[in-house]
Amino acid sequence: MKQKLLALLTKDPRISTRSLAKILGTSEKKIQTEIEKLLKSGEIVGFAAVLNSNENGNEITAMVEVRVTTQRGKGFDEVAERIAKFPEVWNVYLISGSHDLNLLVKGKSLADVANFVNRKVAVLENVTGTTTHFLLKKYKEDGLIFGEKGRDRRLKVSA
Amino acid sequence: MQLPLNHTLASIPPSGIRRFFEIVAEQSDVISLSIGEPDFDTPWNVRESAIAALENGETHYSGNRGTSELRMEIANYFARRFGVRFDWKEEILVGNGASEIFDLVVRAVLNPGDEVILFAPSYVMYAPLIQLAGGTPVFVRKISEIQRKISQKTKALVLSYPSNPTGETFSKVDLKKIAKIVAKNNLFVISDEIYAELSYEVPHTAFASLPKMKERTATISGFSKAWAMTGFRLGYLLAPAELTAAANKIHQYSALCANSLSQAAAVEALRSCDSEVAKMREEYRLRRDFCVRELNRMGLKVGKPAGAFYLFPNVRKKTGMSGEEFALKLLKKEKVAVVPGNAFGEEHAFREGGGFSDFVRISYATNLKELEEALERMERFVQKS
Repeated sequence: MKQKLLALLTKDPRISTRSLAKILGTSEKKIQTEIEKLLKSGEIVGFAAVLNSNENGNEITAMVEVRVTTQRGKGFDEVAERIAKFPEVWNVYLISGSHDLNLLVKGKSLADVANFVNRKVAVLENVTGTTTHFLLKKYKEDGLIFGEKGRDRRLKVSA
Repeated sequence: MQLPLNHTLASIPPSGIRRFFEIVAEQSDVISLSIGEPDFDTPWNVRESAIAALENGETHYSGNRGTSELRMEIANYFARRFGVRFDWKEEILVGNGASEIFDLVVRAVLNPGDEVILFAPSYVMYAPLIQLAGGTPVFVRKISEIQRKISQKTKALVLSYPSNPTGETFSKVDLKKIAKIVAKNNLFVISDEIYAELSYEVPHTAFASLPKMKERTATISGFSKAWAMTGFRLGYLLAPAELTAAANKIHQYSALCANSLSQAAAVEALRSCDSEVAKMREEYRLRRDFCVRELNRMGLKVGKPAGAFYLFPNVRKKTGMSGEEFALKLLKKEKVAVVPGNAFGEEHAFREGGGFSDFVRISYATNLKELEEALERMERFVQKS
């Protein structure tokens, strides 16, 4: 049941416990308990609305590549966790390839974001360099395609 | 000026589905549970292949029987999934949907006056196409009725499982019983297995996989249901070489070949869509279980069908209405469309139980959200009736 529940919540985080209970053939209480369990264990980290920031002129998003040196006893985790504490930073990923950490940073303007990266991230111990790419347009995020909603084009009745 | 038309056509009643379609088309904002095709988009890689084929100029005639690439893939697929190996050169024919294939088979097999036994309730195309081919449809409800309906004129038996409109399928045990009757009476079998991938708990057994059945069976399947490729119009025949050649003899003149872009797309579908098909199957199963629970809860008793995406509840028992009345009133009052059961065989009604006019077909090929809303409206309607 857990897998089906997670699939349904991923598709529509706002789905009601009543609907979930009906769809999965169980009681609302059991659904609530299961969701609470998943939140507690951290398997569900949280629920968030995916906004179309293309429509929002007051927000600039940037992808920031961060190169890190690691010292004896200190791995990537420390740096990553430190960076993650900043509210301007929305995503922190450790990745393979040309750099180490990939961040998603949001601010009110280009200057805002640039300042944040220069003054808060680049200066951190263990950070050897950063490269900032400004996001120009979002086409798809978290499995959701922005733009026109697909409509049902099928004939209403068919054999 | 009146010109006489084909006599047989006059004796074929107008499609009940078509009639209902006209009625529904007049209403707006209807949640339709009357749709016989998947709500899923065709997997993107399949559509991509069709686009690539278009860009590459693969827009010419293919060989009559279908491209060798596709036929080889079909042969591999069927052997892999259902354990029957057909010779891609001689025993496979690709056509314009399972519909064209069925038409070809009955035209290739039947002579005027031949009788064909089929199960009721029946998918809407079988009886009319049998009649157009000069045959006479003879209906049975259960396997146990087949033997006594067999006459000197009986040529073939049509199987269709999992079924539209009931969603039921045959177990291996059932199929073996049928095989015994078929062998005993030397019948031909036309087995429409288009919903084979949508069998949720019972593993699908291809009829041609049963001992001694391959040589007397025309297996029909296609890409519409499991791969959501309805508009591509692509189906295929798996049959003994002689029958495939006969069907091709008609097909080469009446169609020439199936759509070449669809054929390119279908190759991709068979090669790399197993996980997508599995995902769709799981989603249908979830919806089926949900619908069965809700319908039973509101008093429309229905068993859990084994496959396809349909439910066929008897509505008279709870509401006192015929299927047609139920469907029309539900549409008017709650804007939910279901298909009256008499579209699937009222003229050949079985008097016991009032025929299929007491039933409706509910399709769950619709997203869960709409399904939930539709069933809530239906429950309201049922409580008030």
